[in-house]
Amino acid sequence: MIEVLDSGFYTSIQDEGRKGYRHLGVPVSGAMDQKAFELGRLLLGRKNVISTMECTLIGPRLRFHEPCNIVLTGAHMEAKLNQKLVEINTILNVRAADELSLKRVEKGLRTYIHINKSLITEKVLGSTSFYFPLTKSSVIEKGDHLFWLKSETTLKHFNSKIKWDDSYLEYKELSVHKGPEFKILNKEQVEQLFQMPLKISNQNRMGFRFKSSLEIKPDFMLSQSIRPGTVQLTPSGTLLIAGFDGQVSGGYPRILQLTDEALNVLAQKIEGTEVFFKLSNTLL
Amino acid sequence: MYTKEQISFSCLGKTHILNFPWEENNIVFDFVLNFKNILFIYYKDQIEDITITFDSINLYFKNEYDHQKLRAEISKLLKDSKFNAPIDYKKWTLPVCLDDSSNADLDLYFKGNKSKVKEYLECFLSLEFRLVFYGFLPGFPYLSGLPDKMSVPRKVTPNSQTFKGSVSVGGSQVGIYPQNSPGGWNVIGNCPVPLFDIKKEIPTFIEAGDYIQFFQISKEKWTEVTDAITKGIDHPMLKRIKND
Repeated sequence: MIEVLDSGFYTSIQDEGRKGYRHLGVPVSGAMDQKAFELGRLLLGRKNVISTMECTLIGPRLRFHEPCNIVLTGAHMEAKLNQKLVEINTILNVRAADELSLKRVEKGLRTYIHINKSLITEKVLGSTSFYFPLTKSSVIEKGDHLFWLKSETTLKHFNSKIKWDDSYLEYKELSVHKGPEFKILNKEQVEQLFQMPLKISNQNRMGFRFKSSLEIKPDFMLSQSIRPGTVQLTPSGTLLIAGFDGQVSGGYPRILQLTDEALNVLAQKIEGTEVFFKLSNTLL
Repeated sequence: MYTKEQISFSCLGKTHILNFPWEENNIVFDFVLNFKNILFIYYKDQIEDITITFDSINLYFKNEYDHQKLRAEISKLLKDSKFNAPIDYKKWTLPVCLDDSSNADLDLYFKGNKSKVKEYLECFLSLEFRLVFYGFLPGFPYLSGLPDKMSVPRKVTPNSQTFKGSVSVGGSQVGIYPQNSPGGWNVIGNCPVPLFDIKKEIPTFIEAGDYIQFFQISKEKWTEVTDAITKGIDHPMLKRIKND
């Protein structure tokens, strides 16, 4: 069992996501940084049961009442197990009564705590990923007791060490493809789009907002499908990039689509950071 | 019905999009819904989702899928498939409260001209809508059937809070908010009956192509239904949901 001593800034449980329900308007959810999520699975072993917490900006303080193994991936936060500094991207042994505490991020935005246990949480439409109001809450809260299913404690088929490149946490370039409505932009606007630094004015699991000087005419466009990483441009020049809890359809022109890799990069960017779009070379 | 020349292809990463000209009639509904089913069966193992909007079918592939291959397969499916499997379109009536407190946006749009608001709402009640698809938020239905002359542009600055049940107009589209949410559409009334219930195996009961007509209820009736939902007790207006 995990006792939540302090919830941190925004900590939620995320799994592979709620796939197959977009036709009901349900967003896919799941980890914002799929790369860091995947690394946890690689290290703890895909064949093992794993539960994951996504911690944004400031991590939680957790007391483990039973032994288990954990791995931290993603953003770098100062992490301590019983007041002793521990490393990221490596398997940690947690004993009963151990306390894990994560501080504010030093590099990146989202840290993942992977636990080799099956946490007993609400499963809605095939997924345990937090998404209010489908699930009762959007975050874990101080005082929560997260129980897990009893299982063998020994870890099988794990990788203790993997050579891992974390440099994407600091990339400023977002690789993109042209979106279906890219053609509404004129030549100058296209040039501007790929030259101007874009400052993240606001971000959360639903999406990212950037202000730009691009202006387009309002249009009676019929709502169209969007997915995580779709870039919409509003008439006032705001760029909206959908996140994993983002709406499944939208009414603004879809000018770009981030690559999966670019979404991982963006998920690790704190508000106020400047990024650039770069047109991807790969043909689609 | 549509030929491959009438379909345009685009994509958002691994999501492939088929766009076609949209019209509101049964021929189009039959075609889109049948074609969606055909595509769902054909690509079952390769996709994680298939959705429709007014004028598109969207295939959410699990992995990258080759463009040319997709085009060739779609052309062949269009040629070889039958799109006339009968679809049972149902009719639903939904209560809506149209008192002043629920239609502030419309009042704003008509600059406080009460008779224009009244005329608009009367006309709205006489219309028959059709559910085209769910999108935006879980259980948010997009309805067609609003004549062009009744379209109201999306708000320039979205409302910070549009309430659950709000019946709203965004351009020529009509929708009902399933939960409180920021929203850029113009609220014209409130429907107390939830269209999306996560506790049910199939959370929705109105399907794509189904007909919807609104009937007016008083604020008192609205409160009665809302209270019944809060307390978890039965109410005649909630009955139809239980028929599934």
